[in-house]
Amino acid sequence: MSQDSSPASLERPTPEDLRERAALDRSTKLPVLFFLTSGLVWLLAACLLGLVASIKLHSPGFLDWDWLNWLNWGRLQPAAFNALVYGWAFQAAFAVGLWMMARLCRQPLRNPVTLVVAGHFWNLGVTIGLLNILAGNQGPGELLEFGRPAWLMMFAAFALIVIWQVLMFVTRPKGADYVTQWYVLAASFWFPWLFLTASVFTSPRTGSGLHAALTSSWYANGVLFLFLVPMAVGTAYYLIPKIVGRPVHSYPLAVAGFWSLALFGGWTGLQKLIGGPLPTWMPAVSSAAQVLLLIPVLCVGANHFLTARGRHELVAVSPTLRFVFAGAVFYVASHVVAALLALAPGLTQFTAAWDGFRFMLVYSYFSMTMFGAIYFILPRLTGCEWLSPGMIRIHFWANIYGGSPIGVFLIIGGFFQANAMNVWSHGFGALSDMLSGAYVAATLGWIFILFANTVFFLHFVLIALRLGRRSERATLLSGPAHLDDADVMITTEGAEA
Amino acid sequence: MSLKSLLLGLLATFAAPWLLLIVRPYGSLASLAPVAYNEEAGDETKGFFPPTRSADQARGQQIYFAQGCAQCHTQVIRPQYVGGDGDEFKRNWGEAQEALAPKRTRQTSPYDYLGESFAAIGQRRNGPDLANGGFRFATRQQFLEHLYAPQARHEWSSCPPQRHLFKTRVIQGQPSRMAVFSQGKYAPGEGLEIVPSTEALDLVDYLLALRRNAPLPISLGGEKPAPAAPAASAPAAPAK
Repeated sequence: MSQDSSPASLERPTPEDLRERAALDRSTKLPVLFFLTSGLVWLLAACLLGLVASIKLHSPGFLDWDWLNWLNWGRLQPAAFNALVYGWAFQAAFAVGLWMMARLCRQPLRNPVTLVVAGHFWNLGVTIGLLNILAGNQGPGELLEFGRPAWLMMFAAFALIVIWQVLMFVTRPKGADYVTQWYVLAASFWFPWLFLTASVFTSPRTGSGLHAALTSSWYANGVLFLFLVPMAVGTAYYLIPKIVGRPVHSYPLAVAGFWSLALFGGWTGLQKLIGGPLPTWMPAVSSAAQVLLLIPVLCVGANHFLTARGRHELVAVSPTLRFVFAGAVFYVASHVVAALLALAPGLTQFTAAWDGFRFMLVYSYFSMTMFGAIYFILPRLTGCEWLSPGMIRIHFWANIYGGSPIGVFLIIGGFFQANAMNVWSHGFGALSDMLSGAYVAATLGWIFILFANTVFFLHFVLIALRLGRRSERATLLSGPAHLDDADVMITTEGAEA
Repeated sequence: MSLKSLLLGLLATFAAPWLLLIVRPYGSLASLAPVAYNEEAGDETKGFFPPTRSADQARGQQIYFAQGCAQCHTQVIRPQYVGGDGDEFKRNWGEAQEALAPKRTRQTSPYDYLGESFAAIGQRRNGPDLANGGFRFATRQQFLEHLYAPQARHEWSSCPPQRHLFKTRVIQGQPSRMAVFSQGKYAPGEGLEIVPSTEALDLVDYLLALRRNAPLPISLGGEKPAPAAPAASAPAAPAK
């Protein structure tokens, strides 16, 4: 019985289990739907801002009228990236994290309204921060551009949101333990620490601007590798065994993957400042740690691959697994790129390669995994199934054809950019021309993902309004001809609410 | 895993990098203070390193950050093992731009950021490095015109114009000495003039002061000035 809360269970859920899960889902429904809806609105906003920012890189005259000075690239770029990270990614992580924790700890959420109130403050903070950037008042430091007033509000909201996850874990019944919980709790532990450190040490009163810059670089990397990555890894640990109907392949491998992330993650971040005015050992240690972060990737990747072994054809059937699988590919790819950036600073520092890498991690990895989770969670919250496999396919392929080139072309373009900057005879004009190809490719990519997410948002709203399909069977991407035993798992899962 | 063992494990693994990478360096970085040049040790310069910043420059840096300049412009000269920065300013980002007198650039030192509330190391080089940005234009007026219309000088520039830092107004009496583009493609029209705001002037004060040409004192590892030999033909070795 105690094993049933774990997605590793192979047994069919009993009617009592189903009733319990339905009760848990009812308790989390309001805040989860709130965070997902507002997160998706920010995602659309981020895609729009990102598209305009990308166009301005190859056509600087675009939308350059006097009254549009708030669309200057120096404001647009941080606005787009901050909206993507704090508006969309954090709220998706809140929603999916809360839902998984309630399920895994078998504790209903006792205070959904508090969470929705906190969620409003989070959104208010993001709005204020974004307007602050666009108004020409951004703060210094990557991912700290929102400025302090927005920060205070967002941090209070964050604390109010994650505290419930900790409480659920503390009050869980004996035996309700699973890998996903470690990742969610660790992310809720790391982010406040990173954030408080950043707010203290980047304050103008500390008296060392260099230390402020160093801390902000450490913070920005930490947000990616110690908040977004663990949330997505935890989500994949939850979803993959659920869909393929098998327990996680290896517990020791899961432990190794988790603790190696904890061990090396905190050391990364200063590799961005290599060659800068710091003692040489500091960026060097960060570079080494960034390369060592391939160890958790190896552990987690192998574990997920072995869990799904023999069931990989389900990627063609299950929307959730397909998105999680695509995310897993970019999980590995983005970590390999991060290691390359750390190892070859002369070929990447201060170039578009960093933008490509950040996009790959936040969008192609993290967001794709979260889309997979939403395809899994939403029918269970609303009691109706996704309307159209066609819309899911469009969402998937437009994201693949749009998201991958943004990352890949900016990374490759960045290598050329650095190479050209190191060559004596290249003028800066030639440099701009050289990169415009990569930037045009990125613009096409942004158009694709804007389209993909618009389709997804419509689909999402229909299901959230309970206008979906009333069915016992989950919406799958290919017909029943492909189904084998494992798919029974998916269909019963779909009907349980 | 219990909450206690999880928390203890996370605390142990995270406290180490936090203490060593963030907390401990704070002491030494915050205690940096201007260093006096020492003639006995061989310094030829007098006074202190680095030169002090004015309040206008500090305000200018706030505007530099607030407008997002640091998104595209870095201010760091890296050693040769990372990139070709050592002679980057000397070549002035290639031959396409004006031939300025070659300048030997020295690698950035922690002292170069003294007095800044946030070191403007910057995030990417969509535009040229500005560690020595003060040398890029000869006059204040050229800087102002560059802010108003970056494409006026270099058509390929992707730098966003900062026209909102300027005001177009009717000329009353004498035209302003500060007015930009009184003729040419960007001229505002008969009887009008474009004048910079206080923000624009502060920003230009800041940009003009970006000159890291003060030699590093020998006590900080600076090189002894070469004895009178003509340095012009020497290979562009990076300053250590």
